[in-house]
Amino acid sequence: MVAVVSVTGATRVGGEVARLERAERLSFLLEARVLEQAVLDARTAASGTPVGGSAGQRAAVVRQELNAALAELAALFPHDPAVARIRAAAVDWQAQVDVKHQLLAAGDLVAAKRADRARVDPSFDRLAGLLRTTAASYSAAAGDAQGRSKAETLAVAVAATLLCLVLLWRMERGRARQRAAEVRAQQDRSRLVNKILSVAERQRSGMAAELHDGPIQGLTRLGLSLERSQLRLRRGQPEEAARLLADAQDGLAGEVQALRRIMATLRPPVLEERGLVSALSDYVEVVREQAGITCTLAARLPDRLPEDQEIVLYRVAQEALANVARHARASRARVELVETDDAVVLEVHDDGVGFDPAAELVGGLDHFGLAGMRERVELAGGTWTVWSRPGAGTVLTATLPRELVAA
Amino acid sequence: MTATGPGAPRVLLVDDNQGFRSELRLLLEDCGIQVVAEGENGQEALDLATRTEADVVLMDLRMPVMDGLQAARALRDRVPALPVIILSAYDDPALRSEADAANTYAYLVKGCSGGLVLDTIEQAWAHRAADQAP
Repeated sequence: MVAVVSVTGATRVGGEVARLERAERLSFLLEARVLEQAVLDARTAASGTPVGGSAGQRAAVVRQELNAALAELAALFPHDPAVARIRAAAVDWQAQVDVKHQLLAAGDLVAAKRADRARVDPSFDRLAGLLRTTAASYSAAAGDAQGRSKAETLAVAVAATLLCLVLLWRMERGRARQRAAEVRAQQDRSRLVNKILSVAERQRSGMAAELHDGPIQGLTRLGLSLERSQLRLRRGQPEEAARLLADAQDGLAGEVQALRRIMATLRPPVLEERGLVSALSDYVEVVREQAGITCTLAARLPDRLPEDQEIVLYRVAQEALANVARHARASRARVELVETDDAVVLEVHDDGVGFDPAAELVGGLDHFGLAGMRERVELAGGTWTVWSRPGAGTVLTATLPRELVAA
Repeated sequence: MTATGPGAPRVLLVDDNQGFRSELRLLLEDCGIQVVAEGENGQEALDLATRTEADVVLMDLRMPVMDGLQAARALRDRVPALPVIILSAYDDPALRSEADAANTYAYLVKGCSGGLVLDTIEQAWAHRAADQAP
């Protein structure tokens, strides 16, 4: 039976079984659609952004079907105020969900969460309450129905009540799933933030070690060398002092060069000034010279990407090529950067010795920093894959969705 | 900066940076201080301290195998009369405090003048001599 049939609607017409059956089918459809919308809403909350792609299209279809079912129900019981109230409550619930999605799209996660609790949840509760009230009213009034046996009426009333309860239970379950998805999303975000902090800490630590072992030692040594020069001058050995000063000058140039290298590692100036393609071109050249690998770049990127995405793709390419140079024993490497209708794709190929990705990623070995690369790309909203097999080279792919790139 | 005669302090020099070690050795020797041995880490410092007749240990903090603080603590227990001067790239109060707790003679920061290093070695040597006087 139907959750949305009111007392008056059920009792007014003696031969309305067919209409009730139709309403029952509609109620099943409504139930399914309401649940599906709740699940889509939960997915939205989990991803932190409004649903896009196939999920977004599905959400639109669900909404269309939901509204069609509500309209048909209203046509079946045009004068039933309970149906009108349920319809209005459903419309309001959808409107509140829309508001939340708009806030998510604007990137205001805090406001979206606040709207979820202050507007979406109460609206959902109102809809659920109306369904509950309608079921109870129907159940009470069914006993007075004309043209039906007591037993038939009772059976219909019990069925209606049970259906309403099942519907409510399923809706509550959908909401519980939404809550669970939100908790998972929060945990995922916390995990990612912790990872980022941990990676940043490791990088800072590495940089401190590099400064300690490099320029600080070098400059301190130069200071000692200059003191020796002074000593020579005081002892009347100007030629020896001049030799030491010349050495110190060379040493100073070397230290400035070392500091420049560290600075370039922190943030390649070319990336900022000339963009990703130029930066990759320079880096490919460095790999070619330093690692002795035939390294090429094929890039078709008509415009500059947003700064954040350029950095992500540059770091991934840098890490991947560093792995090729260190571990792959490759003779050739190729970097490809292409833009499609909906994505920017970076691929790094090599013909080296390959490895077993499962052992590295699933087995937790991660000698090659693969997990860090994947996290970096996924955090930017993209996908990251690696294909490799011992003896068959490696292909690493990072894809950033174009709508995110353009954001 | 003083050049001393035959009675000059003998120094054990411990630093993992070979270039820095060489330059410091040249300066010390220019000023008449004898470098009796060089080590690359704290473990080597322990071995050399017992095998050589060093009067003073001049040692870095951050080194592989065994760092300078660990080595200083071990030297305090094994050769308590041997003064240890820390020469570190880190100007960090917590490290200074740990070095104090390890009973090191002084904590110098790399980049200080060679004269200060030499003076501190001289003072540590004199301090050791005073302690050992009958």
